[in-house]
Amino acid sequence: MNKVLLISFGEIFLKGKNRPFFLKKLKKLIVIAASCDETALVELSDNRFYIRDFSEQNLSKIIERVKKVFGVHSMSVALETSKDLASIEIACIEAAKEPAKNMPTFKVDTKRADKNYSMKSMEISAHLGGVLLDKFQQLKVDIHNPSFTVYVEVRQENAYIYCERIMGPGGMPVGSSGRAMLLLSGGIDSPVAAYMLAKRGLEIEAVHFFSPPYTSERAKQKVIDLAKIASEYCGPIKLHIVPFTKVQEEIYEKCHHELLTVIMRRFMMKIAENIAQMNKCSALATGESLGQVASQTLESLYATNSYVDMLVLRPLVCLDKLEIISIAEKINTYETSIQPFEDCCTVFTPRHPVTKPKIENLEKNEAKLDVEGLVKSALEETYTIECLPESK
Amino acid sequence: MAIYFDNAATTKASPGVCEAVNEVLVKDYYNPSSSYSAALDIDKKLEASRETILKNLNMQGNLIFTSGGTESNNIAIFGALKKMKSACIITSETEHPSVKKTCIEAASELGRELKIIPVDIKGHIKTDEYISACKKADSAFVSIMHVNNETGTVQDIECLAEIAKQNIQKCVFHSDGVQAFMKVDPLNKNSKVDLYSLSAHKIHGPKGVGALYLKDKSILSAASYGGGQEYGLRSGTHNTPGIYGMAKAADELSSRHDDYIATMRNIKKIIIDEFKGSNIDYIICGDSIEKSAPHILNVAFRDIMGEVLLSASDSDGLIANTGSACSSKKRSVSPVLKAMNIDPNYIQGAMRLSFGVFSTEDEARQAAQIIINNVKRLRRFKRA
Repeated sequence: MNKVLLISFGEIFLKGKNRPFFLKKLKKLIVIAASCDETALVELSDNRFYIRDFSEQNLSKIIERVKKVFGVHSMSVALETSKDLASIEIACIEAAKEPAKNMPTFKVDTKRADKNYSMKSMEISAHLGGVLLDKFQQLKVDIHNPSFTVYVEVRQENAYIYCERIMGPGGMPVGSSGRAMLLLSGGIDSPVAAYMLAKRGLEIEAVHFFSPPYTSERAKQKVIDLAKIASEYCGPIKLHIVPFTKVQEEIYEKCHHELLTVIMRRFMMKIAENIAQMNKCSALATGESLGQVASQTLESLYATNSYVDMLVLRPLVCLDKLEIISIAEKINTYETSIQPFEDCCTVFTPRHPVTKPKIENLEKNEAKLDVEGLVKSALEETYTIECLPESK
Repeated sequence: MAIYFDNAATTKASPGVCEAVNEVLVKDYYNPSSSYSAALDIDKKLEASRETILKNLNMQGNLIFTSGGTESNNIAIFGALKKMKSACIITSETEHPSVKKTCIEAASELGRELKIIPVDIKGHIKTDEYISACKKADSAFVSIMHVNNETGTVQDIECLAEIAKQNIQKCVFHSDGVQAFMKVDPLNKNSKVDLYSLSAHKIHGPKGVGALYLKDKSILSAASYGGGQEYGLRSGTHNTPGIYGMAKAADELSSRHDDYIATMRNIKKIIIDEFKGSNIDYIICGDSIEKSAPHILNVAFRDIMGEVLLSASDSDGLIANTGSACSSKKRSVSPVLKAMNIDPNYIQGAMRLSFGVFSTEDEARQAAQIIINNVKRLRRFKRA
């Protein structure tokens, strides 16, 4: 009888002929998650992943890491045994030993992947229920509202018995949907966008616009820290840092001040699009939420969107701020995001920003700028940092 | 090598101090409270360090060693108030957070009345309001800082202590002397000040050590219990490396005191002269450069964001600050400058330059040029 971590996947199950592609991606991510244990082995068979041969002391760490792998529906620490009924009985008693100490009622829930097994699921459950009642005489069966459940999975090779299901994050394996370039500020929203994009299987690269001396080294460090936290879910994030001071100063000196933010955003999108193309990303992404600030009205979003050709994904577009904050808290980026190091100096934040910018007006102002030259020089000065999770 | 003009935040330890600290760590490491002979020698050195600090303070009385200025202030405030059953608290608007926040906390925790006295445009306490607060109190703990950490404004502590003692029947007078020690004239031998806080790392000593002068041991209740060190007021094994380092730092500064003060005053003058000749719009926050403490210069520039100027200067090799390092992570206008009612067009553009024993006149000229160039550049961009 071995102890294994039994992992089931969610939506990939619905995939047809290309299911192996998704499973290969997912396996790679689970292998990385399990790599915190030197001897752990990851196997895929019979529609389940199995992590085995780990040392007991690393188990909770492995679980914590697998909980952050998109594509994982749930996992259980299961006892693996041969499929003969006597072995299953022994494993059931072993699995129920702990919960039976302080929980009064139970049920047995059996699933057979092996439909040729000699007994039907209901019969197995009923039989094992009887075995457990004999062994733990204080226990009672409650089919509808049990204090704990003994799960039995009779699969092709072996049987698996466990009492607890730990939920995974769902979604699709990172990298299975392609790659996007996210505009990452130091705020609350964009790290949440990274999480949500990764959940749908996107690999994330990020671009950050850095304007020294108007924004400080600490503001840049905050973004690096956020990328590191997000990488726990998204995998390693290539963070492209774009020196942006010259662009901001030029816009300030030559354009109408009420248009500062929108024109600045258009430059950001244009530069991000260039970096995305250079890095083979198929989409841009932002943490914008409709109507949150002046630059996120429908008209402003159109103005920034229409400046680029690439598809722009906005996973937070219909979320309220409080909903975004609650995800930020869940993924542990909130505390870092609210550190008081701003990513944009108030000098370049107009007191009365335009909320319904007109494209022709923007273009008239931009005609005063050497857009191509500014974009080119920003790209030349861009440098890249690889952001990985902090080892814990 | 960057120009380091943030000595009010902390200072570089001198080679002599490093040597003294190291010697204690590897040679004189015995616990001075132990009974063996080696420990006795250490105990004697500890007492000699205490005497050195008292001598440089020009005070007679007692001194307890602490972990620094913040702890000294906390021990003074809570320690005295716990013994003064119904005393109110009188303090000023521009105190360091380790006094102001502690007074607010003590007032709430011990249920005491708190009176915060405003200051004038130079940062001096408003005497009329101070006298009136003193007259209203029968029993009070008064805490007024000697030198302001952001502006260098020097309060007339002797006079303020005198007023408090004359008008309040039962009064304990505390002063945060962290920025004043070894920088401005020490207190008079017959000063009315009861408690005075010090810190070592502001005078080129090690971090993590400070002291609290007490005119009389009975003023305070114990801050911590244990082995009964420091007259039973602050138990805990002595931080001998820190304490010897602090004494060494005080001794070293004392031996070159006049030069040290004159150089720092000259540095201030050089910077201001450079500013005057450059046609940049600035004001000095606090008292005139002659009257304020020699090591602190707070200048504010019109229509400039202090943080941006700081960051630009940092890239050009000048390290300075906007206010106190303890609170500079928080983005807001300095409460000290706000309390002084500094012109709103300038208040956000404040920069604190602070000097130490390693600062040179040549650095002052270079620093002034860095600031002037950046102010001229940044002034083109003010909030639209």
